[in-house]
Amino acid sequence: MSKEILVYSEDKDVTLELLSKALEIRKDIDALVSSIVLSKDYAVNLDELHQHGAERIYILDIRTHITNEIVSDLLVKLVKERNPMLFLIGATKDGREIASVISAKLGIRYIPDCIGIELEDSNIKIERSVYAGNLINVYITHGPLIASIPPKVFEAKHAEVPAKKEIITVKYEVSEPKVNVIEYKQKEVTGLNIENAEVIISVGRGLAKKEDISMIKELAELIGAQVACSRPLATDLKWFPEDQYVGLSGKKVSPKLYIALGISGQVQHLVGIKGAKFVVAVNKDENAPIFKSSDLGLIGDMYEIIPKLIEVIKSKR
Amino acid sequence: MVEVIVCVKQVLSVAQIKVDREAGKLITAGVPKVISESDKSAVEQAVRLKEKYGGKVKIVSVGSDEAREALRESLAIGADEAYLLTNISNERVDGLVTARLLASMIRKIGKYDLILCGDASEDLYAGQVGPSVGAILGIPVITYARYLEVKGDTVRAERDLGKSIQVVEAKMPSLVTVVREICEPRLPTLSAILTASRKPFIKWDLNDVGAKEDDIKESLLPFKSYVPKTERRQEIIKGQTDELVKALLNVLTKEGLVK
Repeated sequence: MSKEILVYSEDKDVTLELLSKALEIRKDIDALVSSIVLSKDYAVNLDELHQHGAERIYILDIRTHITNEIVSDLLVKLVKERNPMLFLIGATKDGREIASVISAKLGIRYIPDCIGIELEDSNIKIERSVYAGNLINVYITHGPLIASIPPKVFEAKHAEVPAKKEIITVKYEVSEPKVNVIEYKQKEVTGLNIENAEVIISVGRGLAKKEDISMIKELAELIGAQVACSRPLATDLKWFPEDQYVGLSGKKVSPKLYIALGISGQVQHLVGIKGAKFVVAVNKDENAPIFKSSDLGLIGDMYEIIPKLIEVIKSKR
Repeated sequence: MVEVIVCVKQVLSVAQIKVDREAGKLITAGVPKVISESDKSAVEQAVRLKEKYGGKVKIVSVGSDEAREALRESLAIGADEAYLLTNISNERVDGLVTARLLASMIRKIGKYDLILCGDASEDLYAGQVGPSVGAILGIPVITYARYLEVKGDTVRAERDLGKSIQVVEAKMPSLVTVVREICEPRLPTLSAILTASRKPFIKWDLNDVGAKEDDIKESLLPFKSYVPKTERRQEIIKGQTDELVKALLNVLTKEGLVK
């Protein structure tokens, strides 16, 4: 097992976050921090990787289409050859798939969705949120370990420039791919990134009909908020595009203000708003679980409160 | 004909879990165990394939005896046979070990065209076991499918990648993990439930699948757990609309969002 921390994500921003974290924790055992880049990824700036902590950069030669299968194949070979103590992968959907495949092929333990990592006396200590955020599991292992880390858990920071700077191009034979990409289809997406929103108004099943979204949008416009929803409104009712829902399988948001209207507060939704600084909930049901996860809970009907609020705000202008 | 095997997991109903803050543990007493949501959709999807193309749907699961309810439910939805590796409670195994055990079960069952799994179970939300099983069996893996269809010897699936939808194909046998929304599981009729109780329900132990207790012990299990602090103020206001509007307006004013 080599004292190396390998970092990979197909998302460049996540790569920088992981590199920054790797650089921060490596001090205890003086591990080497390495970044992995696919040769076809022209968007990646090697200097930027270096500035965020990568002392070694592996460029994986890839001539074919980039698919999870091919990336997994290449990474399996690299990990087998380099035998790093710790392999950090960005926990995007694809990253989680790739991490699971590498873990199984090489028999390396894998902890998904880590929110904390430390190296302590050459042990790796991992924290992971489970049961929809109700519990944190702590694991200790000497490695080797694969850990996937969700976007924005750690912060990308410029490093004091590392002493070493090494670039290694790696060529592996890959097997004939068995999963083929046929095409990409357009999705109805707003392009608005609620993950970066400062103020969010979110609606749940308390919204009676799709047309009522206009009332929410009106309020949002008045206060400069973005509109979001709970999962059922996007995936089941299809009243919202799928990139607008907040929750365990959706977006995690960290606005300074999150206003939840007619959202009951299922645990899977609550996971998505843990990062919110201030949560206001409006719900007719005083027993709705959302109130335990709010800073301010208003027990009332959003159909009475919101129109009135809009009126008042407009009158003040 | 399409022979399908579905991997299912029985989990604590996450919505009903309470926490014991002092002990740093979940309070699981009295919390019902249910089949994981996306696994249930996988079972429904498998049954629909059977109804269209013929073949059998077999359910495999690793768990304790309590998991039999999840399996009975799967049989009631329309699966034909259920296989349970008993005496392996969720707390004893990690994802890698679970995947190996499931793969051993599948190898013992023998022939299949398609393996379906839920994308991730709501308890740990790892999304690990599905792809790991595929990797161990050496078959193509497709994850997070929101739609799938079988065309001849090929499976085609649509994956939601956030900004776009990726359409992929692979020759069977392959493994596909599906999101909850891929289809709505049917509510079994009383007659289906009764029929389910007569369908083959096979229980295996480690020996039956060529595994040993040592294989289980390899698992990386939590060293400890704790309950994260909820720092929400939990202030509640119950009153007339005007009062509530005023309170909300206060918040907006404080945040500088209105004048």
